[in-house]
Amino acid sequence: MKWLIYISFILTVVVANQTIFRLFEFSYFVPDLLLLLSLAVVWSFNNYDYLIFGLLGGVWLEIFAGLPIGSISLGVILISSLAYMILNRWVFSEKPWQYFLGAVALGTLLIRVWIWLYTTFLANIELGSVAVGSSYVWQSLLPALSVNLLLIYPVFALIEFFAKYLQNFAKNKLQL
Amino acid sequence: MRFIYTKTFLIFSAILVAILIALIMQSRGWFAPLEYALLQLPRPAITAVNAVIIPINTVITTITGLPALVAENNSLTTENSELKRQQVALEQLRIENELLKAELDFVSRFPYSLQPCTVLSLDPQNTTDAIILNCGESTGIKVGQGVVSEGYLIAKVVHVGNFNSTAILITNNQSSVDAKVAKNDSEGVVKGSFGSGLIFDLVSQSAEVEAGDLIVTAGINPQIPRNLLIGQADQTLSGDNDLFKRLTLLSPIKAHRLDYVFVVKP
Repeated sequence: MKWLIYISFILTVVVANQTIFRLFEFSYFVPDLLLLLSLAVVWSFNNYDYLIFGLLGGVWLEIFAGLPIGSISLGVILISSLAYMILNRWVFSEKPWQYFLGAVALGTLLIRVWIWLYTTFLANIELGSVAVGSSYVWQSLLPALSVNLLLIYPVFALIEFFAKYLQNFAKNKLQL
Repeated sequence: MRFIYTKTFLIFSAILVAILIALIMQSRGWFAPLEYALLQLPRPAITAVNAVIIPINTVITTITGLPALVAENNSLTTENSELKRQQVALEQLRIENELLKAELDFVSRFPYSLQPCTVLSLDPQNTTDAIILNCGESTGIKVGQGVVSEGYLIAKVVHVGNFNSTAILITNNQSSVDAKVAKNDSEGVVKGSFGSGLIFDLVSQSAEVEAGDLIVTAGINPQIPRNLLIGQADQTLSGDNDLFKRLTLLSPIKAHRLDYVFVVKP
């Protein structure tokens, strides 16, 4: 059940990218929905569920964007793992939700830097045919950051709602 | 317990190895069947959503573009009259040309063939300006070939798999195409620039080129035939003291709306 819902989230991201964001030509004002979902899952669940977003969602988006495997998937996994370690283990015993904003802002920058470095490295060793220019990082950063910050709350609320639903589901199952 | 014996280490190592294997498979083309399946899987959902949002988008675009449409209509009416006048002159030339060709026994033929392809996806974030086509090696597509839409060159193929291929739009800032002015063969290079624009660069200062001139491929690259339309010259960006002339180009093709394109096979 849980995994089916995760896969439907990922499918929604892929479909939204190829329909709404493609047709309306938002240019760089396109949110990193996968990253947002992955970070929201890190925040709401204290487990490795976010890996499915990185692995399946990342690879799916890479194929649709014509990027080498690992450009988005590894980036999302690394950033989410970093957030997981910092937010859930080391620093904060209580997690004020404003820290989530910081994670998203940092994640928006890091995913771009990762895509640029990773694709450039692969193109240099002739393992990838497409290299993303450094200018993409700086050109797209502010527009993407603004829409990501705008969409934090809806995404966060959706995942929180889903987490509570799963919690109730498990409680009812125990009572039965 | 040492970290390398933990479950966490095992999970992350497995993911890293899986991605590495997938990357190598992708570079060798062995990943193509799975890529094709993943590209096709969400198509019913994409088609269903598009059926709803395309009419909405059309209404919004029409309303917002109404003033521009009126202005465009006026300029097109003027241009139409001028073209009709030119058509008469060209018709005379065509008849004359046919007669001369018949005299010389020339065989008229197309210099290249076109492979129709469906656009499977387009990166909405402009990360790579890549379009994924449903044509691959099996249909004779090769790296470096040009992609046209409505007669305009829009992209170049950079990667070819068995069932699909990846092309980068010429508006990408790393793209360059050898080009010339159609009316006088003055050569230059068409480069992509940010904001989905095109720049006609490295044109000799002595070359005669002005707004409205058609820019076509020069045919220096053997994979892209010459005289493919790229766009229309617009504003001059360079000054008189610059080494080369530099102009912006206008192309009427909206890359984000492409559904079908043709790959040019020389």
